[in-house]
Parts: sequence; structure tokens; C-alpha cells
Amino acid sequence: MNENSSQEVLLFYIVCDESGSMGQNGGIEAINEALPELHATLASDPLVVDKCRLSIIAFSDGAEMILPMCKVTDIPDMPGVQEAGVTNYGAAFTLLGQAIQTDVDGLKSQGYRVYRACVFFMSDGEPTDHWEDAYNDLINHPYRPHIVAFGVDGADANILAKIATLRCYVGRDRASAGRALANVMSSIGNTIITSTSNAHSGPANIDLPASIDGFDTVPLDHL
Amino acid sequence: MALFGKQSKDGPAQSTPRSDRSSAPDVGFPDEPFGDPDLLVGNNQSNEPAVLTARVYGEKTTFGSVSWWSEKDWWKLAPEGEANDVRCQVGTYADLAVAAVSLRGNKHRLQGAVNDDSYAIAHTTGDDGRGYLLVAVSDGMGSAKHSSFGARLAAQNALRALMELLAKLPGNGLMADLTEHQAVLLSWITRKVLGYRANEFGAPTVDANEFDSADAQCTLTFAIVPTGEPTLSREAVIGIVGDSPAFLVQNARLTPIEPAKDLEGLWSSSSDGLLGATSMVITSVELEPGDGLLLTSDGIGNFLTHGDQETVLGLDIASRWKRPVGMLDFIRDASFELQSADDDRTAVMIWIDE
Repeated sequence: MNENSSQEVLLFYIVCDESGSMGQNGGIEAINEALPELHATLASDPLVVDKCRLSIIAFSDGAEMILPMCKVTDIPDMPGVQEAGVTNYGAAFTLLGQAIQTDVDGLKSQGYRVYRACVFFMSDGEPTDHWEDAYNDLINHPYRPHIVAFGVDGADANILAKIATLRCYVGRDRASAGRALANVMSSIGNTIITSTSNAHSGPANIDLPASIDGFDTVPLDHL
Repeated sequence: MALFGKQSKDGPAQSTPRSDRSSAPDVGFPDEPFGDPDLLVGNNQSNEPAVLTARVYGEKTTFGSVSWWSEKDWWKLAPEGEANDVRCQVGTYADLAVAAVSLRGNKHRLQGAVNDDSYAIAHTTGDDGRGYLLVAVSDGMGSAKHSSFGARLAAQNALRALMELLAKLPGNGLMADLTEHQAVLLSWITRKVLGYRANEFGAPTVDANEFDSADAQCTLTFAIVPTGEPTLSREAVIGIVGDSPAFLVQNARLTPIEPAKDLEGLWSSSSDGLLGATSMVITSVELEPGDGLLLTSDGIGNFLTHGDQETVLGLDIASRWKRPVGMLDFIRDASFELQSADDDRTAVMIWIDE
């Protein structure tokens, strides 16, 4: 259908922790309230509608693709996350890597010009698995994504800073994880809109806020 | 003189009837200097005015799915004044015909910002006695606050610098002279762009000596095309700083003069800036009678080829612009609807008389 149009496309993945603790601290409820608002915001921007694709992965004991890659106007109702078990980062990275490979190859085969994907990774806790191998596979792939990490309610800032490739934000107040995640979702919406608009200039094309209300920015590791 | 061979001793060329146009010979002046007559208001047979619409490639854009005056308020005026929704110029010089258009992109319409592309066209006689057509396309970088101003001055001053060079050619050949003097030429253009007077005709309000050159950063692609004998080929020289692409248009096909960037199978839009540059890509292309040379900003050029192949749009444009077209047709062709092609668009097309 694209017939080698050279149409440009930006891919955004939201990866949400839905482990048990996210239910107790209000995180699940906050995300489920914010996702429809994010959808409405993105669908009202004509450039985002044409140029972006969105996907959502939820993870706990395992990982599940709750929204396969699509245009925001092709989403009738935003899915939600559900409180589940532990915090398995490795499963999330494995599924994410498979999804990026499939999505990028699929779009390229249709003639699209695909920018490097951007991942918004949200978690409230420490991983309960050995996630490093899956993470290394993800970031050593030619399609390695940009990763922005958000931590709330006692998430390990050091681990999230290792995961992030662009920026890491960690909430200051453990008591307000729900409100913090609402701010995160709002920032994700703004980032998608401004990055879409700026996709003609600069190599990274991801326009992140310098700060998010209630969050500290954690320096990333140097190699 | 009779440009493009159509006008004969027996009188002016006859317009080809619309129904016969597909079999019309591929030579001559454009049949309709302003474009397809059926699309001009008042020329159709019904009482309703004809409507010019953009050609759609793939799915129609969301932005283009509503009228500019719609309550969505997507198509905004620019607070600082002239937004350059459309700027166009056509004309001939010796055995060359030129059409240029610059269009504000959907991104800047939505933001209420100005078109930050620009172009300039001039002609001069070199100290070798030969006529030269000079064209420049400049694209203000989106992150630069005054990129529209920078692009305008860069295009104009690039041509001034090239005129100076052509007036005093050291005589080693244009390519060699340009290569030898590129650093001086680029430095002169940078100084001229940054030597503005504050508040003057769209200039930044801050004083020039407090101004960061990154705030007016832009690309530059220029071409120097000599006039020539109608049956002979000639060498056009092209200079490029940044990512504004140039193409040879030959036999209704497009050939990029410099390949686009593609990183690890993923697209990258990073580009170099003119201001402060000390070197550029300098290349030449042999133009035969009947050939065309197309300079564009990336808002058009990026969508004409993909990898080493023309896109559907690229093939269509190459076919439409294989010969000079009417002014309104040229604007319409550049106003194509293609999802994600939301940047400002500039195209300058130069045709060689056949």
C-alpha cells in the first residue's frame, strides 16, 4: 500500500511495570487513567497521527504486548494494565527486542523510512530476575532503541540509569507514585508530539523535558 | 530566440488539446504558461469555480483532510508576519528556463511558524565572457530560533559570493577555483549572514555581536549552470553543505547527485550547517540539451528517492518536470500530499534548451 513512498515513521514503545506493588501504590490505577488521556492527546495532533506508531508492553512475571504497533487513530480503546506478580525485566526486554525487529522490518518492507525507536520504560521496583543478557541483546542490535527510564516508589535509580540510554527520571516521593506516573504519562505525550515535529533536525530526534514535576534526573553511566 | 524548440517560423506554437496531450511531442514551451487551464478559476464550463487540489500519494494526510479555515485551527498565521505559505518564481535566461517554489510545511502551519526554507536565483557574466545562472537553496535548521532569517540571507549571499568568484576567475576551471577558494567563500557567507543589523527587515532583535550562529544555522546547496550552445553539453558545478539534495533529471528519471544518509538500516536526519563550515561537497554534472537539474530542500528531496530507487512520487515528479511546466502546475506538483512530508518544501528546477 505504501509503494515505496519513502514516508518517515517514528516508533514509540511504552513498557509498563504491572507487578503487584504497582497495584498497592496506585500505579496501576494511575496508568489506566492516563492512557486514554495520552491517546486523546496524540490523536488530536495531525502530524503525530500520520508519522508515529505506538505500542505498549506490560510486564510482571512475564511480558505481554497489550497494544501491538499501530497508528493512534487505529486504536478504538486504549488497553489497560493489570496488577500481577513479580518484576521480570528480562521478559520485557526480550519481547521488546522481538517487537522492534518485527515492526522495523515490516515497515521497511512496505517502503517506510524508519527512525530509531524510542522506549519509555516505567517501573516501581527492583528486577526480580537476571535481566542483563536480554538487555544486552536489545542494545547490541542494529535496531537498538533509545531508552528513557522512569522510576517511582523506590525503584532502584542505579539500575534504571544503566537501562536508560537517553535519560533517567526517578520520583522523589515514595508516597505519591500514582501522581508521579500521571506526570510521566503527560511528559511522554509531550515528548512524542515535539519529537515528531522535530524529526527533520538532529540525530536523536527525541525531545525530552529537562525536568518532570516530582522527579530527579539521574546521570547515566559513562562507559 | 526560440527556447525549447517549439516556436517555429510559421508562428507561435499551438496548444495541444487536453484529450491529445498524452501523445503530444515532448518538446517545446509549456502549452499553458500558468498551468492546466481546466484547473484555473473561471476557465471551466460549469458555473462552479474549479478547485485546485494537491495530488495524493498513499493515504491523504490528516492535516490535509480539513480545510485551512476549519475550526480545528491547524493552519495558523505566523505572529511575526509573512509566513511564506507560497513563494514562486519562473523565467528564462539565455537557453535556460527556471522555475522555483517554496512552500510552508504542515509542521510550521500547525505551529504558526514561518517557512524557514529559502531560495535565490541570479545570473551574471563571468570574466570568461560566458553567461552563468546561479541558484541556491537553503533550509533553516529546525532547532535554530532564527533559521528562516539565516536561510534567506545565506541563499542571497551565497549567490553574491559566487558572482564575485565568477567575475575574477583565476582561470584553473570553475571546479578547481571553487575547490581552492571554498573556505574563503564559506567564511564570507557566514560573516555576511551574521553581520545583520538588529530589527532590520525580519532580523533578530539581539545585536549581531551577541548572537549565537547556531540560532541562524541552515544548509546550502547551490548550482552554477553556464549558458551554452543549444546542441552542446555543459558542466554545471554544485556545492553542498548539509542535506538539501540535488538531482539530475534526465529522460523522466531522477538521479541523486549526492546519496542520502542511511545508518544501520535506520533513517537519520542529522545534517551539517553552513554557518562556520570551512568545506563543502563540490561536484559537477554534465548536462545535455533537454536535461534538467533539480535543487530541493529535504522537505521534497527526501521523498523523491529511497535507497537507490525513485519513489512513486519521484517518478511522477521526474515525468512532470522533464520539460518546463506552467507556474501553477509547478506549485501544484510541489504541493503533493504524502503522510509525514510535513517539513517546508523548496524546489528549483533548471531546464536546458533542447
